[in-house]
Amino acid sequence: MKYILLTLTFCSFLFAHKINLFITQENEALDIYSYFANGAPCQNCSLVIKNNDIIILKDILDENGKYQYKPEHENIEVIIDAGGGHTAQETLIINNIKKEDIKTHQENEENKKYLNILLGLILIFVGFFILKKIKK
Amino acid sequence: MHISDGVLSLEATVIVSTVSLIALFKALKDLKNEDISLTSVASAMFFIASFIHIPFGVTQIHLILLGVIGLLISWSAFVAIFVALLLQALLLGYGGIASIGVNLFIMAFPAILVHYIYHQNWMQKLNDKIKFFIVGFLGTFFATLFLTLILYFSKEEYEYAALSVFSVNIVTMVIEGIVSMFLLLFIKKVYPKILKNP
Repeated sequence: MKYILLTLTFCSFLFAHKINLFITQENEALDIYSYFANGAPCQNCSLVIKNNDIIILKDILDENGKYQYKPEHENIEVIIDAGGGHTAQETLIINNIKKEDIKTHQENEENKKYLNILLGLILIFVGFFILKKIKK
Repeated sequence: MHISDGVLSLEATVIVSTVSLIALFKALKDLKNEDISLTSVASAMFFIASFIHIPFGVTQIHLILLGVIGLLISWSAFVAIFVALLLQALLLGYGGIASIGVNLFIMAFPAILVHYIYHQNWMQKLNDKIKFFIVGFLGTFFATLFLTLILYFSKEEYEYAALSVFSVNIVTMVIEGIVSMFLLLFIKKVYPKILKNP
């Protein structure tokens, strides 16, 4: 059973598409959240935090794809690795972090996704329209 | 069904992408002006179908409708699926740019195979419902088979996962078969002409 679950998790890593990384500041701590393009959290993914290329933290995200970190440096780089070539990273200046909660961020991302789908459909028809003109 | 960038070995990516590129070139060259409208509709259909997710256990399956696309546009499936995959990668992070050739091979070749199988005499003798179910089923079956083989031969660590991918997708094949059956029965009712092109 454990073997089957591990394989299915591995399969979802292979096909779960792009990893997203969202970081916000709550009081003194940073809330780090990582998830796949299909909305599934990046469970137990590896987390590395660097300051000037020096690793200051190495840990894993929880089962909700989250991690809370109290920064001690002004500039940090956050790297998430889900394995199989799936990584996401962001360089931050602690005082410049946008104040946004995870729910608002996810809603914004969802809206952005629908806009991108619409844009994709428009581009498909524009692309084929141009091809039709070329082929004439 | 999309493979992300960095998953496959460089050798597998280059070999499969080269085959896809040649096929894409042939498809573009042979694409007739009057077939472009239907090709664009098939491209949009593939682009949208990937967002219809059906929860299944710990994972999700999404429609790809390769059988229907192959039946409607044959070799032009390479053009339709390439455009859709490119936009999915650029706008939504599905798959990736480096792996687009592999994803194109996995999804467009099954569409063409289904097209040729559909026009075999024995297929034409079957009841419409069974015939259209087979179209949808085989599209996903071949895509899964290609995906399994590419993963299996790409890296040693994927050998077990590749075999599991096939078993996980059996349900997808059946669902695709049912959805394609209803879709093609509807098309046959409202616009039968497009199903008759050999």
